[in-house]
Amino acid sequence: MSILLDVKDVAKRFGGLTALKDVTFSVAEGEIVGLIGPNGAGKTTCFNVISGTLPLSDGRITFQGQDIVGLRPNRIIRMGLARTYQATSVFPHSTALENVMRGAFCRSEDTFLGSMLATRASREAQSKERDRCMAILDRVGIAHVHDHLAGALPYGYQRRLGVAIALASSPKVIMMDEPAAGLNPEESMAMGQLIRDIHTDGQVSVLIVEHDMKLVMGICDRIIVLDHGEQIAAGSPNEVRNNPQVIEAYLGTEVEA
Amino acid sequence: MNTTDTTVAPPAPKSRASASGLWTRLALVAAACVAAGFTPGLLPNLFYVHIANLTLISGIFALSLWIIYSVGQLSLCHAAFAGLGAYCSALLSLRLGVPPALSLVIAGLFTATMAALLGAVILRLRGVYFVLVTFLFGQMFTLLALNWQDVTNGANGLISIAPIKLLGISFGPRSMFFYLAFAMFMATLLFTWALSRSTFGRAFNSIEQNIDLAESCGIDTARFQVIAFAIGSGIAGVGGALIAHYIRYISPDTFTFHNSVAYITMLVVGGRSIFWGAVVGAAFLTPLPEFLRDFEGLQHIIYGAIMVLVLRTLPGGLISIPSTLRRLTGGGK
Repeated sequence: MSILLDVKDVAKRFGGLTALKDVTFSVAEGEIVGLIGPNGAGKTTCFNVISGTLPLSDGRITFQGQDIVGLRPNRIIRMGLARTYQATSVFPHSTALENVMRGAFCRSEDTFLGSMLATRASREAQSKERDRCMAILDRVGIAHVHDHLAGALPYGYQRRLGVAIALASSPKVIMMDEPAAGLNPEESMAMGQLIRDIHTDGQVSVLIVEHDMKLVMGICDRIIVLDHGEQIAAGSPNEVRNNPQVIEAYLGTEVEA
Repeated sequence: MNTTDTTVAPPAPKSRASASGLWTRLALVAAACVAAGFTPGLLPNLFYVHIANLTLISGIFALSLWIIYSVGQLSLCHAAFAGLGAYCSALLSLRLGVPPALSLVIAGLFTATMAALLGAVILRLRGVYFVLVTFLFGQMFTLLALNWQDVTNGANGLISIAPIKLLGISFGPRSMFFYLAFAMFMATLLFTWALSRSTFGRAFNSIEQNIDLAESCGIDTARFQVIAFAIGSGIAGVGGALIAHYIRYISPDTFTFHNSVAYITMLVVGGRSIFWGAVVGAAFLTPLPEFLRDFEGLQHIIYGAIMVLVLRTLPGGLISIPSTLRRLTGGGK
């Protein structure tokens, strides 16, 4: 089990405010790692720093042994580290299938000149891509609405589409920012199943930020707990559940699962 | 309780319709060429030919502005880039004796390069900030053209610019220039169409719809925005150079802020959702003031009223007329 994503002593400061401090964890091949913590703990900031959206203040992040600090997000994605967003994030005026094909943009064999002249090679590349993207839509369970405009899809479908877009880039690690936010318990459970499926049959490692403890405890191999930007615990779901510091951070009201 | 994966539809039908669509388009292009061949002869006098020429060039400007708009950026210095191309081409042919057909190409490349340099710096700005900076750049261009007397001849402008000659044929006369303008317009139209369906077009549209997600799809948003800005402005430069060699006189007044606004108006009135809107907008708005000349004094008021009416009733622009009609008549597909 080799380590794919390695985060070491990462800090992020916004002026005088320390949003992240000494965060250290790693994601190995084939793992599902959860990142939890109360509101404002710095989970999304952590994602934004790793994905290159925000510059970090201190520390080191490597992906497959390569330093990715300072790379623009599109470069990081092309290396195989994809992400989804906390809010629904789709291309609203395009069809669901077109959305996924855009997710596959960096993987497509289509060329600029070829696509401009609509050559045979380009059309073949596109039709291959279309088939692959249909299969991805199928995998997240929304293939039947592939020709609907993404903006008109129900919320739960849009969340799945977000996952499909990230999957289309054939990532090795996929970072999911609250995939179950706003979903009802049933949808949330189906999302958990989907994540597990993606993980098992796609050999994709998953780094997940989530508030739904049931979901996190159910699918994660390891859990990292942040509070006020500091890493207060890390370990298996069971260890984390019984960690007094974690219980304190959640004021004893959480971790009922 | 995995209920969602059971509702899977049959796979999508493979789209093979694009081939027949291509032939329809080729037929349309051929028909347009034939129609254009007769146009100068059929128009009652040279004034109408002149209007047709200006309309075609406006079409080039509006289309090239659409390319920039297709990455979600609104450029308020489109006329400045047109002017840059015009001055570049005019000066090359006046001072260095470069044949206009060649200086036209150089002007396009020069303008595109300048746009790429400017774009690399300012395209990280979005929305109103980008609009403001492009506005200021447009003003800078006007001031430069006015005050750099040695080169631009200031407010007096440049006179007796050579007409374009190609293979011994002079495109100076109005009816001859029409064919050149038409060819350039068609080239721009076909290029824009091909561009919008290419991988670049897909990247551009992704950026317009959701720039953060586009970046997360591995699309180099910074690079593609510069590319769109350079292509659009470069074409505007060629358009400006065409004007220089057609009117054969340019001054800082030829390419002002008002022209930039006029191109944006064409986009909005025509419809921004697809590049055809730019063509429709240019074809509608360029000749409109001329046809309103009979209403002396009221001309501008009527012009304004028509624009308000179009925008009020057709927020999607003139190209949305068919779909609006379909909706109003309550018909199905």
